[in-house]
Amino acid sequence: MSFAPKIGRQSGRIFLVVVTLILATAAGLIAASQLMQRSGEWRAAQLFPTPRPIADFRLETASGEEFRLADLQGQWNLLFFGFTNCPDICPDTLAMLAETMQRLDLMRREEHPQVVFVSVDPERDRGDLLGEYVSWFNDEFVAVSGDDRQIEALTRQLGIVYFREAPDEATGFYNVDHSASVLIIDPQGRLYGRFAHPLDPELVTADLFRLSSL
Amino acid sequence: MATLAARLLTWPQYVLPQKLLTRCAWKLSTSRIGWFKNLFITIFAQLFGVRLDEAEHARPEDYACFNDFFTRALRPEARPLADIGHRLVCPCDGTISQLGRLEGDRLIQAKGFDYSAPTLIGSNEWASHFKDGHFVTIYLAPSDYHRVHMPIDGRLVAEHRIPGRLFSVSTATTQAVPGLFTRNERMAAIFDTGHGPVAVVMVAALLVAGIETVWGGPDDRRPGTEPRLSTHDGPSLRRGEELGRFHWGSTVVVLTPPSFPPWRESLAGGRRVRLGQGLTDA
Repeated sequence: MSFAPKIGRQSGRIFLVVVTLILATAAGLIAASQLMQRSGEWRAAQLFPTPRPIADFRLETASGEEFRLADLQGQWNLLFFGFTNCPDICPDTLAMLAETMQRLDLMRREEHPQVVFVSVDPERDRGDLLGEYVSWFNDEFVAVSGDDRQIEALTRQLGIVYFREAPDEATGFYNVDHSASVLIIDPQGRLYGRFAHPLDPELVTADLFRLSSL
Repeated sequence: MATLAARLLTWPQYVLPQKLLTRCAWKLSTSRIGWFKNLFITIFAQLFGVRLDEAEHARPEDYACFNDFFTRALRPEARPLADIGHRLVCPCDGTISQLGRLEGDRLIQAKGFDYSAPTLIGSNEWASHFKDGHFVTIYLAPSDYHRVHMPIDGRLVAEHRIPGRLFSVSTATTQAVPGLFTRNERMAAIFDTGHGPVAVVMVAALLVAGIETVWGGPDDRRPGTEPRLSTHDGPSLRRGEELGRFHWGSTVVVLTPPSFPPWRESLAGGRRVRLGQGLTDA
């Protein structure tokens, strides 16, 4: 008489184990597929649905060479707009990008994107000052500028805005308000996307690593 | 906790004759023998990637000795000061090692290591002003510019010269030697500012042959065998004005009271910072 219930208990246990296993496997599969999808997303980059072509422009590097659209072609580029007297966003962003390049080195990604700093304050950022400023963060970073007309020919296409505030009466110092995004330009010289503030070097590195494998 | 590699790299420093090495380094770096100091400067500049282009003098021959080159001035326009909207500016060039708030009187040295503000500045009384306040630790690499400037307008009210060890302050060492900044020789200056007291602590390190202040002059660069606490009435120094210099690479800790604005959000450990940039948003 005690036989039947015993089997019942036994098979009940087996049933529970099997159900648990099936549920666990299913949960694992769902979690894994979620994770796979997650890693398929960009961590920090915001990409345009279709890259936007850029019309040619004419700027000048700090060492006096012409810098045009063709100089953005052939490699991935990160474009950032600012000024050397900037008290916060510019040094923070350049330091962050320099750290990102070091991280790419550690990941054995030797071909770095070209980092271009465009000064929107050509009046003060003249001569060696601009080149020295940018290379302080990383020797490979490129510094460019031009007159307002030339700068605007590029910024208007990219949706970058900047304006100079009225100078301080005592010191003559003036601030320049400017967009803080780091723009991503693809090897065809098209606007591909951007990194918005605040920038986390870990996430930016992960995205740049992925971009360079595209 | 310290990695095994960091520990292995660090342990010889415990037995090194730190003071003797440091004295030798001072002799060599103040040598005025022309060919020797020029060669020394050239090799050092190459090895560490020193940027003479932004210095006041661009050629090795322009410096009387290696130490002159090491404590070189920058061209006046090389480091613009942040506008007054930022209460505190960065006092030196370097790399942030840690920043944040004090927990009571404890500061973070590296992951897993903390140390106390009273020990760091050598005074319970002064340290009490910084309880639950803010701190930032900036590491100066050998290639960096070695003068330290005022982060805010202030009047010197106290100076503590504290003798100690001369461990290296490299990242590996800070991760492996507990209480590093409170073991090393250091100079803590307390300034009275319009917003309360601010402490600037200059920590010496291996081969640092001294910490010179603008009020003390070059002969006052090393402490004696006992801590020396002195009160001062000035000088008053403007924000951005030089307050002192290191005669070799080291670390600066700035402490502010809890009423001060917090550090800017986009600053983090490992990030390079420049003299004069804003450290706080307000």
